[in-house]
Amino acid sequence: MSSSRWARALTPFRIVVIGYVLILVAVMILAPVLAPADPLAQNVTKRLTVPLTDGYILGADELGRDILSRLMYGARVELFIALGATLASMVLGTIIGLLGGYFGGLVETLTMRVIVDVILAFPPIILALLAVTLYGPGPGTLIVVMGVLFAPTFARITYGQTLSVKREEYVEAAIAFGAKTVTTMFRVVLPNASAPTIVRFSLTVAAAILLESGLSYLGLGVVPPTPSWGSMVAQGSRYLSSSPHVLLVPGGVVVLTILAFGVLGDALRDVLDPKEKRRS
Amino acid sequence: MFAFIVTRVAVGAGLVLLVLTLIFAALHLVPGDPAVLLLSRGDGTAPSQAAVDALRGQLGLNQPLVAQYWNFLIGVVTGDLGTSFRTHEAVVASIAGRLPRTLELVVFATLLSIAVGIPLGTLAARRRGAVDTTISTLTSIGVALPVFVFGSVLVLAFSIWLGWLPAGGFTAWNQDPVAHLKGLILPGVALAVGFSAIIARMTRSSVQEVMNQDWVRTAKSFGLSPFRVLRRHVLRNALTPIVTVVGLGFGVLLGSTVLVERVFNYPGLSSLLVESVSTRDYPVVQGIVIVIAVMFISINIVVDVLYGFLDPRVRR
Amino acid sequence: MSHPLLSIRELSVDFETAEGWKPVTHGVSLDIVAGQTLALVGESGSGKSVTAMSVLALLPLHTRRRGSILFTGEDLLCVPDKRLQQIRGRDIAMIFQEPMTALNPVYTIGRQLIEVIQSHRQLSTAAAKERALELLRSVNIPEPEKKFDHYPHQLSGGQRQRAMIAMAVSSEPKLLIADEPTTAIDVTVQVEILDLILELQSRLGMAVLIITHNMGVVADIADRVVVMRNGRVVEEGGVEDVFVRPREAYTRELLAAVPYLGRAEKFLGGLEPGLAVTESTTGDMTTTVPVLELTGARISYPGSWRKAGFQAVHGVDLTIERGEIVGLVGESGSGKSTIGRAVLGLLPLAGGTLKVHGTDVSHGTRALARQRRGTVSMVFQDPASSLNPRRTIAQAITDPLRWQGIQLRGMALRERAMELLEQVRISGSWADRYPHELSGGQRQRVGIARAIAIEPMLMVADEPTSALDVSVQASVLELFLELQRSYGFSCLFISHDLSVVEALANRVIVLQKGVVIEQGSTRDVLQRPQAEYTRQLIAAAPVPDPTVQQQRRQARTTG
Repeated sequence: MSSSRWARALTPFRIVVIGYVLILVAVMILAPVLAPADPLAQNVTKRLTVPLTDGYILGADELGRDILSRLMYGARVELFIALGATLASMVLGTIIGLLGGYFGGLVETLTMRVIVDVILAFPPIILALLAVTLYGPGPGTLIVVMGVLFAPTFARITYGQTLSVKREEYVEAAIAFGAKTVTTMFRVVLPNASAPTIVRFSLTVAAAILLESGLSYLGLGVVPPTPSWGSMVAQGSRYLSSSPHVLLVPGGVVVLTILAFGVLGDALRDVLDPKEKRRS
Repeated sequence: MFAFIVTRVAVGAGLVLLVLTLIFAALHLVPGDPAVLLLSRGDGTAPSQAAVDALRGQLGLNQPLVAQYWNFLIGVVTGDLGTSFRTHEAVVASIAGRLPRTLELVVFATLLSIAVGIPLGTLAARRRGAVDTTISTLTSIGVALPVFVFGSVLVLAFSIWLGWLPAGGFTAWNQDPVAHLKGLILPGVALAVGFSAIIARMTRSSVQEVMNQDWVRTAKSFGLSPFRVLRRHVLRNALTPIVTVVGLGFGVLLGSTVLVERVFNYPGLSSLLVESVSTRDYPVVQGIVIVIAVMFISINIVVDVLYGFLDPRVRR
Repeated sequence: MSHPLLSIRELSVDFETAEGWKPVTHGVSLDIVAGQTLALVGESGSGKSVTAMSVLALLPLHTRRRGSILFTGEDLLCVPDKRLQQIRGRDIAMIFQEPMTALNPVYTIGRQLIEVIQSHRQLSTAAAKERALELLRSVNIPEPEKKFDHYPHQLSGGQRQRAMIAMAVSSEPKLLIADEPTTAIDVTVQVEILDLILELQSRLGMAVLIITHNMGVVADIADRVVVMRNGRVVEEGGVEDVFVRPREAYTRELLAAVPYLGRAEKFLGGLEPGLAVTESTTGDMTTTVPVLELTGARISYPGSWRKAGFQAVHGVDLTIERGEIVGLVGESGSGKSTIGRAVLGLLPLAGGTLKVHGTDVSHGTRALARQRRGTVSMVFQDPASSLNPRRTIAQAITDPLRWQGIQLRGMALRERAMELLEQVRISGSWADRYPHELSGGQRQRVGIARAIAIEPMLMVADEPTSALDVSVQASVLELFLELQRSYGFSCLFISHDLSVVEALANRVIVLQKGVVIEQGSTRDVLQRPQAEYTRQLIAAAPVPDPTVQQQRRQARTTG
């Protein structure tokens, strides 16, 4: 039963996508070994070299730096921030949602109404900009801010799941048999409420990359000279008419990566969350 | 119904108060002197004592915290959001000059997204197979496209290569209406692509879910025509979650204008926000964040009330 | 026999699955004569609903029908969609099991009626409204003018089903297909709905195809019966023949498994409800302490700032002595499950006292649960949700022992699990399976094993068999009774089914709207009821006997 679900979820396209994600993770860890050149090494004579010439596989930017190497080091920063922020928001959001859903009443008002609704009252990027104004740009600020920003998504998912799982008779049985509250919450309710959270993890990584690259594009995310995908796109936009590859290459990588995490999320949903499955 | 609306508005007002408190706390409750925080350049050099004192006076930081909070709330209610560090203009005036341009862009993009997303999603839900797969693939890509990348590609294609539309900038309506509208197209499309994909996805899953409901089978069993079943018993019911997505998405679009206005060099509210963040012009940043949050909350109230109109079960 | 109105011939329905076409029914044939009532009965998975849905092509996508369905000479499997649309609702109409979801929640009853009326007749909206009101009156909806503007969620279950019936008869169809029309409805309302269907049938001269799993309903209204099992027709005949002289073994087994109110001695192999334990508890000196004592109990569901709470139980007194099974019966909204939940500590008491074996546990929910440890246990209603899907059945059974700190070591737990599984007659080799691999009856057995694991003094059983097929219900109840006799626990048995309670309980408490209407020994209450409401309940409980049902119907219409 579940093996056929795996088989159906893993289409050839999705296998390619998962391969891409694995390569990204490898690059994130091994960038210094894999990168063909120093991402910060400038060579003014080679500025704006087009891809596949003079040993520049993906070309060179306006300062003659190797774009492929910069992308690899960029992946490092990008994924570190995105994964860190998503992990933080998942832990935070799951706890908030579990507390709100399990206890209800005043706890619910405090968690789901006050904390979650206040965070959701801002478009994410706006709250991020407010934080950057106050605390300055950089990976630390980004992880903390995005961890807070994306927590409501996880909180709402866990909250909804907790509410419905809590009505199941096996949870009532645990309570009535005198299981400790912590046991009931974390050993009985949480495992049965977590499938959509795992699906959401992948989608949130995509959203975090989207937001981080946007902030870096504005020059308010990762601070130069550290290479980041968003700032590479921003630099590229200045040479759009003469050398579009300086923008299109990093832009393409951003799109592919976000797309990959989105598709990975869809695949996970088909495997883990059969309720969401559409066809009977 | 009246009580329902009053409740929603009251909840919204409470939320605004909480949001204002959060914004106040973000500056005033962090460890250290807010004036030092605002003046620091991030390079480790301490700002001069004179500058700090001047700023403390200007922001009223020497008053007790409760008084500061009270003055802050009164200021917001009376429309006094302080003056810019940079231009020394009233923040409210700067916002008022920029807000309509951004709103115009967002409304245009929203309408465009609805017009594209709902029919596309309905089509995908009704026709399975190749049509569904194609639309689903397109929406997956649409959701993944960052506006600043897609916007740049639009500029490359339609203004640099084809030369049909301006690469950016802004022309006032009373100066040249045609140029004004032309200037809206690319940024509007850039904003709409992701949003219409989200609406299409929501429509698809919502329509599919409603199509499996018992009352649709009932309607069929009484011999209603397929079109009538679709319009009255599927789409009408599928609308409620779509309205929520549109309401939330409107707010997200407000956020996305931050990037789009940069790409297209469009002098709206969001570009003012980015400039102010870059120059650490805190009063302006704070003012804009407040305005956007209040707008966002208001839209959510409207959505909630609409929800009540659409679904009699939630009216109470 | 006269010419059939509807004739299903060799109908096979297949569902498309990932593994290819999977047959659901195999060559089903049946005939319905004009004006007649045919009951299609069977347990879950028999294919009865699929057969009924096939008639108007209302099956889900990815299904295939073969054979023929002749309606007044026309094969409905071959007619074009346009023609099918004309037949639907005008010549053949349907009503469904769950009127809450079968009606569109966003339109008023009146609007949905008008839509159906206008779909088959050219009528002005005013005329259609007139007709709609007339229909609402004919199905005996109180205050039809007011209910016309109500949304489905504002009506009671019975009223919704009446509105549904009004829609169905709006074009005076030749055939009404009713798919489990009273399954989601209380017995006293069920009688009224069935009466209404029969009355409309004779007034409009329509044929009725009723799909049901309830043999009492069949005996009540059917002229002819078709028994289905595993997608095949097992037996067909007149209602008298099938009930009195069933030809097939399966039909006989099915009928034997149906509890018959007033004939409890034939049910469950004549096993008596358990007082047998009193001798085995001679060591206990405090023989007079009741296991459960509720005095003046009031129980409310807490409200929130936007939803007012409401009180479900108003001052109930209830006592259960050692080794006694007490049946708590009532319809939906009577508060019977609420009392069960309060006894388990899942709901606090708003007033009164609750004593478990002499200890007052009325206040403080958390401490309450501790107090009850090792004393109170439970079996739930829904086999699909009573077991944690992420625990194997061996783990599920022994979890309560770990939670209560009675038994913590792995090997001992395992041994105990095996022992318990054996007692509920499930093979030990199944110990490491997960609940979804088990059938509903097996899951309910596992639930019982979990409940007796802590050797409770009191068992709360909330409708433990109402989600099961009758044949499974009988074997589960038999097992339950055996275990009760060997373990000697007392039991609060909550049920809506009087015939089950009669077979199981020593005493009965009848509850209505949170108030005790009547209580006493099972025999007294069910054979010599004092309260009018108890008499109504007994009269409405369907029994699988066409003759008795006919007499009752006559009594109702003349009285």
